[in-house]
Amino acid sequence: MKKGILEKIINLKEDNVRLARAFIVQAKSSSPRNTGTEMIITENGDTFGSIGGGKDEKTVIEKSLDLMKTGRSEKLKLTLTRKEAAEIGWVCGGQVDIFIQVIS
Amino acid sequence: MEDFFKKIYKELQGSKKILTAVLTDIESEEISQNLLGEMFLFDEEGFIEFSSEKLENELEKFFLNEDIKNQILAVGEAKNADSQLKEFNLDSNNKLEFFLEPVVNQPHLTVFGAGHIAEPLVKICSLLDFSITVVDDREEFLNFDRFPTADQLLRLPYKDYFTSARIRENDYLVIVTRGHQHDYQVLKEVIDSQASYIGMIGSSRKIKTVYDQLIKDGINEEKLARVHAPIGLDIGSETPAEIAVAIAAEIVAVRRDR
Repeated sequence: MKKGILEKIINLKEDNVRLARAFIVQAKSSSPRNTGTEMIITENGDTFGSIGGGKDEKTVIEKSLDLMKTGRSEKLKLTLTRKEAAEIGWVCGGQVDIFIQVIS
Repeated sequence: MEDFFKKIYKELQGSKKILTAVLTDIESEEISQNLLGEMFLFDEEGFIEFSSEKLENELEKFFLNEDIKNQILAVGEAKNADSQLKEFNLDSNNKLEFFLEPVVNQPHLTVFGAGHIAEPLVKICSLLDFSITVVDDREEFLNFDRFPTADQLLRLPYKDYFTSARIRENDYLVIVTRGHQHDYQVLKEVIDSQASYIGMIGSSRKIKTVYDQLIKDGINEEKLARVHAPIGLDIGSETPAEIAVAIAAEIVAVRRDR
């Protein structure tokens, strides 16, 4: 976790905003550098940071908004084709596991 | 969970390496799925805080098993800063998966001296994800026209900088002031610090002059061995930009434990 993200979480919680932190926990056949890449999604759909952009980030945001309603955290497995991965700057295709941590 | 994050923030102000573990998968009849996403904070010596009492109570009995506890704490001892997903078999019926990662402050480069080496060095290091401070007491050298990618320019006499500065493990220090008296002054202040990297420019003769002065001040010779001087990897650099590349490469090597 980066200090900047930590500060953001604390600030948002002080304003009583519901939020989730999404981060890459495993990226198969991709550079290990990607693990730990994180973003914050608030209940209003505002985001801070990025896990790569594109279609999959949108999926992550939508899923996060759903999960915030139930208060449950969940692991999301996304499969990217080589082309999709390249578009968002991930070197290879393959499976990317993202954990969505709802921060109550 | 708010208090938990505040606790992390507070611990981050210290100089010790701290890590968090997020519970990302539970294969167990006994442990509730509701605990997914709960966290704990730890360092190499032990557990610091749990995000909920429920998590603490659930894990307590498993951490009585020294083996599991040690496996987790071992991650805190590792020197590299990468995150990892790790499975723990608590017993034959219970398996937990944690995402373990250090809490990090972006690495910070402080350049003492805003001269001709500093200019390309700051440009290069900002590409390497460093936040950057340049310190110098000369107004004409220290401005954002010369250092557009610096985060902070501090126009101060060097000794004043150290009255408030706190140097931590994620600090990288480059000493390229305009003269060996200033280099000496800065090095004396930082030699005992926890900085990951201390590099000082100069010919071997100048370096020796500075070291001799420090030894006379009672600084242990062994401590001086950690200083990277002559500074930079030996790539035959000649121009300021080439020297900056050599310094930046050395900083990357230290950061990546090479």
